[in-house]
Amino acid sequence: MTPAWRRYAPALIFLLPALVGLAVFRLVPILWSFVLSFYDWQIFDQPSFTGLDNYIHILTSPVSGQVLRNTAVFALIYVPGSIALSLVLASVLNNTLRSSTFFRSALFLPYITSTVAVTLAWKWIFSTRFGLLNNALAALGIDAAPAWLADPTYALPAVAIVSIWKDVGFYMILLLAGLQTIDPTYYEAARIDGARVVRRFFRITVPLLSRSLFFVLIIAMVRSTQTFEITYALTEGGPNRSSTTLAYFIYENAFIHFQMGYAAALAYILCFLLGLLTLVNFYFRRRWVHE
Amino acid sequence: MSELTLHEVEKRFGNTEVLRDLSLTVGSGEFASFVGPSGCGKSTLLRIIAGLERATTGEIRIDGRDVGRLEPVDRGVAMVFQNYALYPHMTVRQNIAFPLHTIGLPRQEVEQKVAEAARTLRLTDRLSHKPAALSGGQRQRVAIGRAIVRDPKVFLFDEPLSNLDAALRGEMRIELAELHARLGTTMVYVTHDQVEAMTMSDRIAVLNAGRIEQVGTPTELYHHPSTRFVADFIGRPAMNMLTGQATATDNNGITVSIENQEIRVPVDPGASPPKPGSAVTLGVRPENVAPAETGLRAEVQMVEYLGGVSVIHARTPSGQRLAASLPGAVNVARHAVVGFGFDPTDTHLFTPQGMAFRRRAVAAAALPTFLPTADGDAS
Repeated sequence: MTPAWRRYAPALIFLLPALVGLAVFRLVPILWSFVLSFYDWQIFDQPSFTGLDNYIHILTSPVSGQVLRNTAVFALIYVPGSIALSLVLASVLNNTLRSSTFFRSALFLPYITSTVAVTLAWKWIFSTRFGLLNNALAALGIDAAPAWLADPTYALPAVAIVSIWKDVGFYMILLLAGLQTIDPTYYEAARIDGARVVRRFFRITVPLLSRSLFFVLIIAMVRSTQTFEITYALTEGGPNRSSTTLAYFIYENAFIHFQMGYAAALAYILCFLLGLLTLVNFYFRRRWVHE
Repeated sequence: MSELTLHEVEKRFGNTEVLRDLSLTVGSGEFASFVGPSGCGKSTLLRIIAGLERATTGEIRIDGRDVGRLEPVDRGVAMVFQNYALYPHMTVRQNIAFPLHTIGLPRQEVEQKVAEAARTLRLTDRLSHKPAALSGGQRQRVAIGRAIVRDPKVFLFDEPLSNLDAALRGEMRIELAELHARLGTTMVYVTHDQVEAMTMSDRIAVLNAGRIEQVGTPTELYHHPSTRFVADFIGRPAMNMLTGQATATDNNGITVSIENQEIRVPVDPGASPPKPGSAVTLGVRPENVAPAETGLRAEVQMVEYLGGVSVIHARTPSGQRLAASLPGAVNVARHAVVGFGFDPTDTHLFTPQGMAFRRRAVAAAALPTFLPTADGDAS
């Protein structure tokens, strides 16, 4: 046994179970799905190599185009919506410490509750005739309330609203942790310098919270492309594919149409887009994130 | 220049009383310090003046106007915080300009004021740096710059030198005193360091447990402390406190017995002179104690050599501590029993409750006076 081997062997032995698990359950599926994306494989047939056909089809098919557009629209509602709402909630809770423990727990609760169960409750809230939302709108004098889940215009925003509601507690906790690291004397100095609440928020809070905001932005972007359970339980991608986003489309191809190769290619396109967006974010990071 | 008046200010946090019946007027252009131990309420008082806290009762007036319910910015005060509170994401220029942008001053005027403040505080070559790239003294000056650009009526300083090392603290004391002389603005300074208060202030208010123990000029507090607390707090090394008994009282003062030595202390016995045999505390500053053939015998415990002076720490036969501060180095062995003496006119006398008897001698009269040189004064 060489001295180097003797030195690293104990560490390797201890790491081996984790490395095996990582390889079997992470690395192999990642590589296998990448290989698969170049095959046409109906799950019960023999796979046949098709080269870039799956990718070309995705990029040229009108259905994939609509799904990519839906994903972009969903992200455009979900990412700013969830960040803005979580930032407001975190700021409010940060300033009202006495009651914050209760509200912090209450607002975090949706994040840890069963997605399908709460989505079914939301399905009732969005119900056109008997739903809480439309009845509330009617009470406010809005009688022409939309059919939230049946109207192609509103189905995707409805999924986004539920997704925001579910995740906002998680982002709020992350931002609250960031807010609590800001030295309160900055706010006191700003008050003496004449800065009112809004100016203090934009000139002190936001810059000093920028690292947490950047982290939340990346997480929210990733999650915006992964919404599946809520779409599945609320709209099943409908009506007329209006709420089908990429993650649901991958599921549909893989486990309804059993087009494993096509689904794998979709997953890699999603991965590529996310990687690209993250790189763009990191490029712009130094412009607005305070170190 | 503005006058600041505190009238019967009280502050309670729940059942905890932090400030009690606090009244004081800081004159226009005066440099006033609040000094006291940690937890005495001095920072709370400053925050009340600034408007960051609200007094439970009482009034705060600036130039006769009640500002107790106004927002900090509307009071016309500027504050320098203990940790400077410089915005870490802004450059020095942005930090100094922040209050000016906030009030909507035209850009050109902002630039002009920032440049002026930077010049005054020797920060011109640091304007594009962020606070993290500055030394402690430079940060301190940026914090002062942010305060002076607003032309406030009253400057508030909350222990601004406590984060600096000893050498820099000394430099900044001089800079602050010079700044006050140049601006002539009313300044309120809070510190737990009596040296800072003594060296910079026109007047000092000593706070103890939320109330003012005594207000006076540095020399008044040093020579005529009204309580044992003030006597102990002002002056370093701290005043020697020797317990004994009063033996007689007459028109010339009170005679006390300390360590079997009779000492006549020239104080005014007042309306209720101590009865013979009652306990009293004799105070004498270490700088007024000198070696003596006769006098109090004490065993030397330790000698602190400080360069310009040496402080001898000794213990009397009954275990009372006695310190003597002597110029230069001293030649005395540890555990040697030596005699210490002092002039009774340099002593102070306190009741068991800690109240001082009024001293008759005015030591301040002995202060050296510098005369202008033959070729004229410095100006």
